[in-house]
Amino acid sequence: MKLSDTIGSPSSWAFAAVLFFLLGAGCGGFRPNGANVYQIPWPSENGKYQLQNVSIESYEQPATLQGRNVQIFVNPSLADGQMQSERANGHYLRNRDGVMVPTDYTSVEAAAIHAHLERLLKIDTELKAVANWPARIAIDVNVHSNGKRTVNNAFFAEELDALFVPPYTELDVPIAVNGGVLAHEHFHRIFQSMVFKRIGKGGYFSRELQAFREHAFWSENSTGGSVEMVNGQPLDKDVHGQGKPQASQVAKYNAFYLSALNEGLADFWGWVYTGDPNFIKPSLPKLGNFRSLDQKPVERLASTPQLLAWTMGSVNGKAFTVGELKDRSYFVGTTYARFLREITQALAQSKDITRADRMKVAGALIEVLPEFADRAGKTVRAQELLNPNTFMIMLSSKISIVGELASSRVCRTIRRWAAPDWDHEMQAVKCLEPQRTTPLSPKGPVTPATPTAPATPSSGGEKGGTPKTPRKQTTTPAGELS
Amino acid sequence: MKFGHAAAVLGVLLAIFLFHHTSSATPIVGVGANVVYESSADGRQYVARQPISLRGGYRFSLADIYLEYTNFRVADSGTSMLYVAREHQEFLLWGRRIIRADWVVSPTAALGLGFEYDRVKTSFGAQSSEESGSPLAIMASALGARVQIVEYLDLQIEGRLSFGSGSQPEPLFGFGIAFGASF
Repeated sequence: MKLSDTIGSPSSWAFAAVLFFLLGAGCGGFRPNGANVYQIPWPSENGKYQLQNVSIESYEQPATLQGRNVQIFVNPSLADGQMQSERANGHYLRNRDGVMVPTDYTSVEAAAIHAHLERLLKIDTELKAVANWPARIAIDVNVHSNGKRTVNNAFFAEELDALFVPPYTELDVPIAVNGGVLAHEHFHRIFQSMVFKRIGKGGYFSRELQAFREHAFWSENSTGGSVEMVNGQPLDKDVHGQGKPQASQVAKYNAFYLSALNEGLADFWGWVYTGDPNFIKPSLPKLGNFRSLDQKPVERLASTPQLLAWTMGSVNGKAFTVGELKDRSYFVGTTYARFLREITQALAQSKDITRADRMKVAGALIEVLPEFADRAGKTVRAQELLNPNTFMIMLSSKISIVGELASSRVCRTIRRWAAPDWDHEMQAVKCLEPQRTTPLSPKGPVTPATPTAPATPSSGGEKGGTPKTPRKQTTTPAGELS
Repeated sequence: MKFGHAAAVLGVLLAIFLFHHTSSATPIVGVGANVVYESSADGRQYVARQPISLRGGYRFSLADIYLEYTNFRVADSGTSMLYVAREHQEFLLWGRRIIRADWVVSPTAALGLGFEYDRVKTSFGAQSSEESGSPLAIMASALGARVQIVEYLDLQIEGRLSFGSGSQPEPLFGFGIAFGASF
């Protein structure tokens, strides 16, 4: 018997081949574009990230990782000051349930970014926040700093109007899929559009601001001043001994302060979006504990002299390194984030803070940004020091407070947390006692009783006056809040 | 589904061809090793995949008709916590023309139609998910050469270009070497 007979006749092979082929071709032809449910790591109810099926309406071209809300750049390069990349390749399969499943790591990152940014845009729309869309996001970025490749980080590069996500090499949730970190970075885009651009009209502030972000600035100026500290506070004579800081010192101070505020509000935004006060922890556990919004006890906002001392880059003769200064801006910013969380807690009807509670304060924050920017712009142009309390006082005037108890709690929170510059004025603020029937501020503007104090502090530096000697910092445990 | 319909029509034509030439057909089998270049995620470079292939079909006087199964696995590095591994499979029905059978090194040209599908395993911490995709139509062409080693054994070398309807937006190119046996 011939071997061909044992295998089968050619005609049976032909039938089998054609049948097989027709079955395959009939099943084929699927194009992934258009499907809108993706399997990606996503925070569950308890905040823990798990593989879940997530709807993404705006992710229209997964084959090239592009959507109407987000432009993804994979491993981009810079040419003539512009960010460029080749056409990216997304790889997904559609399972039997119609769910798009990424088949490589980059496609997971891209889908998660599209999903989070889509939801962040909805929040922006709801709160009327302004940012440039579509968002430009660079992943797997090859960035070097001090000769080492930057990893495990994310940052907003305002000069490129792009959010950078370098590679992640740690053992936890990659930063590209961490919604809280993406929200944090996204807020920098909002702050850029609603504050920095507004302040920078006319080009005055851009140079100083840009300088802050460049290491060379700190390297050149790190020994520009020396501040003697007593009991954790700088002595007045070092800061204001000449009556008024030099213009360059003021510029540096204001740039440092605004960057710190930007970081703090961005941390708050990460919490608003995720509801997790320690949203950094899933990706960067050590840093997360340092930046957590629920850390107790909470420090008060840094005072003007403190900020000025740090800005000068030297305390007790020891110069800050560039890294220390950068860290300091985050440290200062975190106190604002915690302050905002305490205000949100004070507003909440129960111990559990709801999304509505967070959105209420977030809405006030967005509402106040343009006004704050205009005011800060005037201060900057007048070469005066921005007062660290101004933003919080302006913000509180935008929060709609319902009920005397909440009004009292918010008032007390602000009084306790405000920077020590204003202690003498804050002590004069009489917060509403809940049992009283006469409302202090029925609809919410919780402002100190002295009408001119919050808006135009006489001692905070915004008017150029000489601040009084800062009082010793005292921290009241937040648990004592009524 | 235009691609699928065209493939079906071509399949029918191939079947008619087979019916008319069954008397002179010889069974063939083969095993091959290929290199396929996929565009990387950033589009800046090509990443080599190394599939293996199994073939079986019939040889007619100057043409081979055979089915080919190809498989390769991609272990995407990902991170320690998030890890994606892909397995790619293709089933192609090839028609190969031996252009000059009297040459020691016989040039060949081939067209293939079929389908591909992926399977993916996603690991995220303690979680693990395995998913299979739907079959997707694929078309391929190849140019190469065949060398008869001994009476029943030959060596085939070819360059390939394949076009899929899946997520890979660009044609894939690659090279292959295969040993074949005819009976």
